[in-house]
Amino acid sequence: MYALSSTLIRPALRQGLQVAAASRQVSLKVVSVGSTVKDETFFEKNERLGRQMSPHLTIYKPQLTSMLSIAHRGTGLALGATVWALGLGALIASHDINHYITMIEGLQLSGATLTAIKFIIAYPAGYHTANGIRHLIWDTGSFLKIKEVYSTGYIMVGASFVLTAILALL
Amino acid sequence: MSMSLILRGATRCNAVNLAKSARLTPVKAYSTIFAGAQRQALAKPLPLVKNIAPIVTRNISVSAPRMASAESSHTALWTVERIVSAALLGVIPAAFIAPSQALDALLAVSVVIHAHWGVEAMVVDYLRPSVVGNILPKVAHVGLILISIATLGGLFYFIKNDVGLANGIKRFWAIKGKDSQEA
Repeated sequence: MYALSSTLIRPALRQGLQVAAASRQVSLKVVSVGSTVKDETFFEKNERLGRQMSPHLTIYKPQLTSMLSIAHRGTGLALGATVWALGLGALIASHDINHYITMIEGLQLSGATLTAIKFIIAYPAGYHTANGIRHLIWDTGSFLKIKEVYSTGYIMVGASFVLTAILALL
Repeated sequence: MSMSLILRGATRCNAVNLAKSARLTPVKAYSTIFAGAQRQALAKPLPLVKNIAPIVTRNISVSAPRMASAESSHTALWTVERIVSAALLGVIPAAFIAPSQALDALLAVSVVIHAHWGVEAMVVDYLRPSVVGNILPKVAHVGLILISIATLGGLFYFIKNDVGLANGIKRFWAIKGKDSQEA
């Protein structure tokens, strides 16, 4: 009798509770403010307890989203470093730019080599521009669903190569 | 036994009646928004609950976390950052298609401030006080400001005293290979 009632009561009770929960009114427990305020932050507490941090970058599977995002940051940093080199170089260099251009011409590189070098130099600009447009589109609120993030991601990588090719051939 | 009661339709199939008929101990009573009215609402048929229970709103004071930052709102700067990024899409082609000192200066300012904000975001993200201590983030911030000012100064010097920014890059890009160089 007990076994029978327990197998019969619990599902019925669960169903009844589910039906009741569907139209349940929310109840709140009122407590004093002092009991909720903590003295230390989450990080201070874990430092005090001497806890190690869980692995993150070493275990997380690389995905298109994260890889394209860090590439956007990396290409941005590369472009920024180039701008810094140009600006700071202009301050400390002892000659004008024609001098340095003549120096590079003196290397006598082949046309193909030069185009290849120009492609490699221009790729960060092409990628950062294409992904930058993708970011600005996100900022308008569009194409934020995960499928759209992936499809625009692939389109963007293709566009970055096209843009870089155009720049390298200019 | 309680199941047979339900099958006979003697009581309505809801949680309260199930609990009553199975002689289970009642759940702990919390203080609720609907003081008193809720117990009655549960006993009545469920579809009518919404009509019966009055909706009482109560302002609950949620104390702000004590470690909450006191910084000002970032939203205006965010919008300016996006405007500069979008403007760069127009300024860069314009400066190269129609080189002039004015467009070069506009290009230099836009690129330097865009790069400054970008690297500043990296400094804020990666040089965290909990990881690198308290001094390095501040030093990095000041260093970044100095680099940006120096870069802008160098670019302005270049625009004024040399061939100009767009023309300089064009000349660099126009370096010919030994195949097409004149002897």
